[in-house]
Amino acid sequence: MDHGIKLSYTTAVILQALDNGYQYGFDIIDVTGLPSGTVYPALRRFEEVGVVTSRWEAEEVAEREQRSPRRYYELTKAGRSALAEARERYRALGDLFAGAKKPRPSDA
Amino acid sequence: MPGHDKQRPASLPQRLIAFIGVIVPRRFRARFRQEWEAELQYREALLARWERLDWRNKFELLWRSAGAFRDALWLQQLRWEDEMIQDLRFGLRMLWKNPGFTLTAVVTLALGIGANTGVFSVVNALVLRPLPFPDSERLVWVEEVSKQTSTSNPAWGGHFLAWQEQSRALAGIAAIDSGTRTLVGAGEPERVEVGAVSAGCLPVLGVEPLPGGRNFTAAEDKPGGERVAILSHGLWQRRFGGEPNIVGHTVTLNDAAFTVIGVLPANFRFLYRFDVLVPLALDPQQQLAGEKRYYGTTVARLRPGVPLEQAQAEMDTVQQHYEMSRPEGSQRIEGRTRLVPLQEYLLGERRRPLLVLLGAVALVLLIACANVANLLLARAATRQKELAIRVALGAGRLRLVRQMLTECLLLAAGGGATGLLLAYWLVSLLGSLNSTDTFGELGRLSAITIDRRVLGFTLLTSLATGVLFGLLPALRLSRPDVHTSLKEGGRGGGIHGRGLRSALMVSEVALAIVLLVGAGLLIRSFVKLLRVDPGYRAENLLTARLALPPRYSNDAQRVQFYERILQRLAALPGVASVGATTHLPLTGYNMGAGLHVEGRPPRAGETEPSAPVARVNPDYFRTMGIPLRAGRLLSDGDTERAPGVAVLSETLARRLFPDEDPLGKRITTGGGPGTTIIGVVGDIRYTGLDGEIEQAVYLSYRQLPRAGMALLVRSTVEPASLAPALRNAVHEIDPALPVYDVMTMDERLSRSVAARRFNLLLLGGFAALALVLAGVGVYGVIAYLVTRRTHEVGIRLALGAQSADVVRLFIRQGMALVAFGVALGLVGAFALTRVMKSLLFGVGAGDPLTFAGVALLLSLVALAACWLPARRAARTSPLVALRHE
Repeated sequence: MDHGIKLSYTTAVILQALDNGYQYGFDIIDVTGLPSGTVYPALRRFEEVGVVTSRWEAEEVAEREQRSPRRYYELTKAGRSALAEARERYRALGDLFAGAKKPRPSDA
Repeated sequence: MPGHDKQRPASLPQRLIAFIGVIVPRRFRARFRQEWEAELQYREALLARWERLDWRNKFELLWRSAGAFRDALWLQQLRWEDEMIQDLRFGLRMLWKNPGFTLTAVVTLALGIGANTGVFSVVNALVLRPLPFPDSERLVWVEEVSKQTSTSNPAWGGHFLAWQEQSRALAGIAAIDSGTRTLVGAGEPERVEVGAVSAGCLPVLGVEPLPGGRNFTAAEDKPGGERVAILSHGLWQRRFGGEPNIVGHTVTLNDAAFTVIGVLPANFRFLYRFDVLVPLALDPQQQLAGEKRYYGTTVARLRPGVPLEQAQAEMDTVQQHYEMSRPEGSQRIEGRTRLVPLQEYLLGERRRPLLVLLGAVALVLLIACANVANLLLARAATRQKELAIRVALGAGRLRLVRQMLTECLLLAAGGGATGLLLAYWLVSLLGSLNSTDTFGELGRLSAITIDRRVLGFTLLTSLATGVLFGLLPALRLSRPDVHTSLKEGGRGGGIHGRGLRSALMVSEVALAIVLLVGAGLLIRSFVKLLRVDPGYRAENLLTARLALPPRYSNDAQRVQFYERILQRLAALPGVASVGATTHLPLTGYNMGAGLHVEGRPPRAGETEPSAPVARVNPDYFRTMGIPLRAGRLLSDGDTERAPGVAVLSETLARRLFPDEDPLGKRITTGGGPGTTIIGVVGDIRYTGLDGEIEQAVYLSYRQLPRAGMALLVRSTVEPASLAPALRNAVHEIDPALPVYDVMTMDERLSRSVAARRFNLLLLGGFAALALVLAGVGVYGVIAYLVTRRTHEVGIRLALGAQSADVVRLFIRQGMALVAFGVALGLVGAFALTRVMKSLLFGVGAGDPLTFAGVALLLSLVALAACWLPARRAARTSPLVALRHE
């Protein structure tokens, strides 16, 4: 499937992070070590071509903590196929976040 | 989008985000801010909870927030897309909702753009596209300019040989002679076009025969060399079925056997129509001595980097040396060498008419633009409210203009696409014309198609058109005072662009006048041309050409053949008389010879007069309808054994014998035996109705029967119906002698004016289109004026004005503008038509009859266009009118 993104190492890492459950912008920045000026434009690009979708987190969660809801990103089917292709190219990708804690959107 | 009040005061990173958010496009701003601030809040809360909110982490957050700048930049591109898509959607919707307007505008534009594309495709094929030869810009046409008469002539064979041998500025030179011969074998005898070319011809043109074949060698290009031939692809397929082993086969041309040595590629285009190429085999000795002088098409290829003037000068020097090396007593053939780039030569006189047509069709497009601009301004009245709302909502002027321009570009794109369809149809129509008649050999070399360049032109024209007709209305309508005018009930002044609309109408009328004058001048020229007396009677005259092959080897055989065919034809039913001549008008054959009056010493410094010398039968004059002026015509008694006699045309007789009676004097032609002048006949025009009168000498064909003669049959019935009988008569005498170029003289005349007719039809069509568009434009403006003054009309009617008064009111207003436009147009036409001078015949560029006629025509049409809406105004009921705002 033609996903429309260039599979550089940077984008591959971001995709893998998303797959591993790091689905908030700042979390991706934390766990990949990439600067925010790289991660956010990449996420925007992913969303434009349909490789990820984004949503505001559940209101109740945010309300509980008395803050604004955060935006979280999810891989689409195209995104997962892009990730598979990326993992073929960058063999060690799958091991990147092995053993790390995987937060989920519903978590606190 | 869900959002919660921030519970804490904004931190530094959050303030930074707020600051950066200013540049984010409005649509995304809220999301952008919330997304970043939510992340920051979450993180700050987390760090605070774990008591890690030290300066280092704070700085890191700030640094991270700075990255939002790149995010904001990325979102910029969506701004343009966003607004552009909005504009497009909105524009499409507006056009869809007003189908009448949209359709009218698109059709108008399509006519303008389509016509432009059509004409441009012709200009592209003939002027812009290079010839289909490699490096064609280095190909030149070689001719010689006579020192005495300054006329250009084909280059002479002796000079050609000298150039071929000695010129260093040329990469190659080719001599090309074309004619027809009879091909027998492998089917019916067929008349084929034969190109006799020098060995350097194919290399000069940059073409090679298909693999397995080869070009002529220098040995074959000499007299006595092997008889070899190269076939055209078409002939190979058609006659020999594409036989793969054609090389080595024999073909017989005019009873001589030639060995095939190659076939040319299918896409090869030669300078003339051809089926076979054979070597020219000029005899250097003969040419040097001045015998059997050969004059023919000469084409050369300049060496890379050699400028034309340099080559020309060098060839001149070579030629002069050659002349000096010739034996004493041979007639000097002097002339300056002249080189013309080949494409320019082939284009010839057609460049000017093409440019005139291009200019004319551009005027049509301008009129179309003016019409559509007026439509836009008219429609603005109905869009006022919408405009005002948009202004109130904060749409800047730039935005409004951009959005209106988008609509205009959509219209232009629609007009362009439809116009392209129209152009395709026009081009296919042009393809059905005989391109050689209308466009010359160039039409055959370069087919008129819609290629990439033409498509690019269409695109560019559409864009320019959209901007052209859209810009002024858009600027006018987006003026800031648009909404104040709304309150006034629309009776305010210039916001609706009344001045602009009138100006547009005046310019439309003026442009239409210019086009109509141009077309009118061409029409008058054409009519005058057709009325020219060619000197002979062209109606009911059938013509055909023959060429006797070499097996008619002596004069007696030829005379016998001609006598027999003339007798046979004269005996046919429906035939009044039969003629034969070597010089058939409108075939371009006017070979002449020098004339010498016996007993007249040559005056020093004067050259011999020369004139075409035609060999004819006695009945020729009667058949052609050429009147006798003095003396007698040739008769049957003037046989080969009788003393030589000659008949002169009037002008020649006057020229040679200004003060004496020519009858009884003796002249020689081309150094031949002396002949006595026995008669003077009327002049005729050989080269066409617009050509000059050729002075001619007529000699009896029996005294020198040529191989190539034309037959003329004057009929009492429809001449074309005799064509089969004519062919049969020839075949009864000699079955292997095809008759070719069988045509009535009327048809020849018609073909000779094909180019003029083409110009006339196109320009006339454009002028008619311009008239219609201008008429529609006038109608539109007056109708608009009527609507605007309905209230006032109501008052007048209520106060007792007659309907006739109302009609007069509007007609006066409209015609005042029209008169202004007509005056402008006439002045403009007077200035511009001088560029057309070379296309005119018998009419001056300032011909008053044409100008007056056009002014009258347009005024009448405009009057009708004013009267229709005025009548409508006069019919409205006063009550309705008064209520109208």
